[in-house]
Amino acid sequence: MNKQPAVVLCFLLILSACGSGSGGISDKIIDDDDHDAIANTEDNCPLVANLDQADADNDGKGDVCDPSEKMDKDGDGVADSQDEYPDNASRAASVTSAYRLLTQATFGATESEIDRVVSIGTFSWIDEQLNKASAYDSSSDKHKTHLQRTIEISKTVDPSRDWYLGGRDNDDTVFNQKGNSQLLTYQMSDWWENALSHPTNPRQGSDQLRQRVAYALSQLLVTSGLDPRLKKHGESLSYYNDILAKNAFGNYRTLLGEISRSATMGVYLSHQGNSKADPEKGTRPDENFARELIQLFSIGLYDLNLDGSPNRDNDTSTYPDAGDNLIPSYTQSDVEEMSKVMTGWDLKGNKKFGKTRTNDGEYANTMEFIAEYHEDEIAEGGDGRVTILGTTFALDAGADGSGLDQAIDVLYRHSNMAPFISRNLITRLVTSNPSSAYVARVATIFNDNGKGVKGDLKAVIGAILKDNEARDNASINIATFGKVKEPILAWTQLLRTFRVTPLNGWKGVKDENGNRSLVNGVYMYAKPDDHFGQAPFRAKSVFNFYNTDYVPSDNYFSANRLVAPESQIQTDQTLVDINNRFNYFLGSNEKNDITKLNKKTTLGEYAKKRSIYSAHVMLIDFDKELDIFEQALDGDTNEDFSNMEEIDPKDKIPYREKAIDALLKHLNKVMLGNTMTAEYRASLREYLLSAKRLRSSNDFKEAHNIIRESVQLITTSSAYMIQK
Amino acid sequence: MKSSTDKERRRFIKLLASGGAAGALGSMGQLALMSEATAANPEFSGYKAMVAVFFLGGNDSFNMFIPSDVSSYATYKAGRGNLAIQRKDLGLASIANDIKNGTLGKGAANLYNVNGQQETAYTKGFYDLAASNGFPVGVNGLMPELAQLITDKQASVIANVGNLVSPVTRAQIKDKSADLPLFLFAHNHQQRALQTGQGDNLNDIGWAGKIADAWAGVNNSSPLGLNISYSGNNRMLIGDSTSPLVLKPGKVPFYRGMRKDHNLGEDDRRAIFKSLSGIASEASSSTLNFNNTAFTDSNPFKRLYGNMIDRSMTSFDTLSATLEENSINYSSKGPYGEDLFANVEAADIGFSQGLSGSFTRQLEGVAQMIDLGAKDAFNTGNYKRQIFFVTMGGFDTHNNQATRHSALLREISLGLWKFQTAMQELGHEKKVTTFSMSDFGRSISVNSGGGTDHAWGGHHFVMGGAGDRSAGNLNGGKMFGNLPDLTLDGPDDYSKKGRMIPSTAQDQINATICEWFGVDQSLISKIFPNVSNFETTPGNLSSAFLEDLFV
Repeated sequence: MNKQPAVVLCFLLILSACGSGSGGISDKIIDDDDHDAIANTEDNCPLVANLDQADADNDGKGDVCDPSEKMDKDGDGVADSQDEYPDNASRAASVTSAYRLLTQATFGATESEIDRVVSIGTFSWIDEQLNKASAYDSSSDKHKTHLQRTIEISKTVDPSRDWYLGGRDNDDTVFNQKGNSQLLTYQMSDWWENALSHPTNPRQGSDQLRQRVAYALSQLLVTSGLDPRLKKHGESLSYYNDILAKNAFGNYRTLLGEISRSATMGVYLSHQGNSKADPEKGTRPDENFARELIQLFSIGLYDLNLDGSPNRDNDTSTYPDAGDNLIPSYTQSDVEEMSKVMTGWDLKGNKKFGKTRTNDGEYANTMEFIAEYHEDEIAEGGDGRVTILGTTFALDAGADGSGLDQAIDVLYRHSNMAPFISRNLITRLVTSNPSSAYVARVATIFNDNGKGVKGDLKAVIGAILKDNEARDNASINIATFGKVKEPILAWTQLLRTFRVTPLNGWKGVKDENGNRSLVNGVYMYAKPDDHFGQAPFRAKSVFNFYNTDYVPSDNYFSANRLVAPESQIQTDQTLVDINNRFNYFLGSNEKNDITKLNKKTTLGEYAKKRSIYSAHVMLIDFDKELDIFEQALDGDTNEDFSNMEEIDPKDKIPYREKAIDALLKHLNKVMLGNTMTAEYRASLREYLLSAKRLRSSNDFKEAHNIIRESVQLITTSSAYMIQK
Repeated sequence: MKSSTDKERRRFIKLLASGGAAGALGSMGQLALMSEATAANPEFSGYKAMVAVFFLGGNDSFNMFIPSDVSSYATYKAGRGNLAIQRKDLGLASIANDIKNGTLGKGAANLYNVNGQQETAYTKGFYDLAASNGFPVGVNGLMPELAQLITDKQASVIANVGNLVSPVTRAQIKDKSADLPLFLFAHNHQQRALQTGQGDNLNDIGWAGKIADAWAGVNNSSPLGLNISYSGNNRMLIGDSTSPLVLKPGKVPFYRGMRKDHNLGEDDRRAIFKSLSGIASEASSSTLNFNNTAFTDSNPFKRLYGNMIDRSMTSFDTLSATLEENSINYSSKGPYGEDLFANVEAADIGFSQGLSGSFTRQLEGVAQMIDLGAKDAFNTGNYKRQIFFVTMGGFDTHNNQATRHSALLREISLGLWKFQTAMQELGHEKKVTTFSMSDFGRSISVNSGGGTDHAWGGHHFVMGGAGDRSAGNLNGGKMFGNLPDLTLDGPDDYSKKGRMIPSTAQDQINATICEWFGVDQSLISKIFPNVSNFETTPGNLSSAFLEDLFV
């Protein structure tokens, strides 16, 4: 609201007042109901006096009369403008709002977390997560880093191996120095913990948003356990995961510096052991990392506007730009110059520079810089300087003489960084086809978090999740909004919803006497990519699981140029595999099923049959669902499920039907966030009521069948697999 | 540094019809492209299959096929240094019968063996085919089976092939008048150019996808369609209205608990499953009936997913039923006496580690699908055409090339032999043409990590036929195209590092094979619009094809 007219008017009033001789402000001259000397027509609170016309949210309504600003009618700590239930102190967000947020920001909504978001509101939850304690606050507390936990798991599962060169526990030497292909398995176990949370290590995975962002970053700054050398050094991937998780709410420039120096990336994109040109041998520096650092990790192939669209007119602030022109952001010459910078790095402790088949170097650490092997252009008669993207600097620039920071700085200064990274993170978390304005808003924060800092990921993530495009439930009905769920995330969601825990007592690795100890507290599922078409840190190439520009063969998507990358990997056979895997898991890894129904065995006995080679050594339970079902059925939870065949005399409705309705209401909440359509519910209900195969002479089993089948059907339906 | 020339800028202008690039490569899908589709469904007399083998990452084919004459070899050796294959004939003739009879010597008995190390086996020598075949290149010692295929005239080599828009010379590169493909040396873009069939348009759909679009209704509208991939949803096979069936090697699965016409309970399950994803239900024996149209979701994402599920279910209904009734037991053995498609052991090949076996497994799947198609086990009444896509990964050998490439070469050779043997045993060898592609060849110069970098031209092979050079079949045992001068900074070098300027475009090979496959010329010129730039007789499209590749 423009303050000027009010001031002018006030001035005039004073003049007139002075001139009238009767003293005081005359309100006969102008309409000013609240007597604040500001005419009603100019007053942003015409009925409440507010001389300063303060309007913090600039919406034309002054703060003193604006219900949306700082007001908190129900006093629940959530401002009315954010509060979906401004009159109810116990709620601030709807179930749907909560579910949508948790789907974007965690590895899957749980009922308790849904209830928490409902209670405190979406923004409060986001802030809570952004400020949550992490494994990186202290190196000696109980919240373990990925690497610490991976080492713990390795020793737990395989206690008799000499994990250190000096022996089993001689941990002042390097862990897994000699390499062992089982490390990938334990690294995956650690990954599961942080995604699924852990019953006895509750800190693991408590920082869901941080871990989810780290997972998104792992699909941008890709390294993979499928690499022939990293295959034997899974601990390197845990170390790398720590870099991503630690910097997830840090700064992107710091992140780039750390991954560039990591042994993991050095091995994956082969700048470890890269050395200066040797004209006599006819060798020159390897271009691998140099190229992908530019093309994939920072600025991409051509110039972008602030909104991520191609910059065709050399002005990043105007978009979209007309025409077909593309301005390439780098050339082959830039790659060659960059490759010279990326020399001189080696694994710490490597006995011979650049040795790659080595049991000497440290894979879970930074690399070290050895100037002797760094490019200096002396042999080729060059000047020891390189020019990248038009900036020239000395190859030995920087405190460590590596030129690495100077090189990354050049890329970092490029205006592509903000839109390139922002857009990527939005598409991993929220929606595949963000609006131009959404990308621009987030990129603006990337460029400057409000305090003059570029690359503040905490601010960027906050901006992504708090943006109206992400939060407004109206987005559910916007056709182009949303994304196909990654199969792995659909899987983790299922596990989290049904309170997954490790299946304790499975058989670890043989010791020297051939005995295998029983393992507790460790999730075991080494190769989810066998079943889900993808697995964390197991991308087949540095280009991740799917192409960012994948447009499915569908008229609507083609015509509107909409992408759906996650659909690229859910191909015909993968869909069968996913379906079958859910089917198999739900039929064999549910606690009540194991202990009371089919197997009638103890969990321990059941676990003993499993080992590091078993898939999903994990346990879920339908306890809550069985309770809800039985309560509606016979009013108690004593597990007799009586009344299964009876009809309620009061309303003539079969108890079984009531139980099914109660179940569906619950599953709608916890699996779909109350987005189940009426038709969907009607069909599912009809099936559950009528399908003969669900019936059993054992009422407990019948209830279980109904629950399991519902969960299976929901999990494999498009309603579940599409995130809106 | 924006030193784009006019020519390069014109290249970029051809990119993207309008704004809204969704990513580095922009989005695809010009629905109007196939508006004047050629005749919907040509009549084919017999069954034919194309098998595209893509080496992901850029295969160093200059170490697969090594110049054997003294002076060419010297040039090669000067550039390659320690990574050069030694000029030493290992003597293919001595093991020819062993390969065929499955009695190939194991372990140290392998001709390429030095000390049980694959790195040294990599460079030990090659199979000289000059005397027997007039072949100017030898085949890497780790690939005796491929050498034998060439000798038996069931495979040919095309020299110095690469992604090209028009012919390019070094002089043109130097004066910046060359019509270069977009984003040379970048993996995903070079792969993409080979998928779209256009070095100057990375936003189009795939060329095999366009064939499928044009041949709508092929194979009597079998749900399996024209294109089958064993390696993911690859753009080469994606059309505007068609997309490939994507399978994995190994046992073909079925939807658990939802097999078609299996029993009442499973039918019920199918009905509800489809209904919940908005898929129209089939007339089935299901006792339950859901009104699917009630919630055909207007949400395009849900509809997309529903269609994906529908297609998957229909395909696997067909496949698993057919496969149950048609299993294959090969009597032929592999070179070491193993079951034909079994993976060889490390001890057999004399390596410290075994081979991944992924390539062989994919080809086993292809062989089975070819057999089913050729016999029309799907009972379509007119099953005549199939394009298969398989890949091998790991070729981006920036370092440790001797270790990594050796395993890959051994696997290529064994895989190709097993597949060709299977085709012969099943009687389909004249129906199938297999050909290679890769992002690019690699630099002749070597880097400090014992590897090579992204380059351009490289050699490729084509395999098929009965080895008799009969009409309509592969002209096997020949070298096509022109061997490049491998001198660093020499007349065929893009720059100074030994990145060879290709003299044959991949489009030319692909067009020639498509012609054999029955794609008519007007469709060929649509799917490979740049191939006419290679006409030796202007206006005569055939003159751009590889003359004599097929007899």
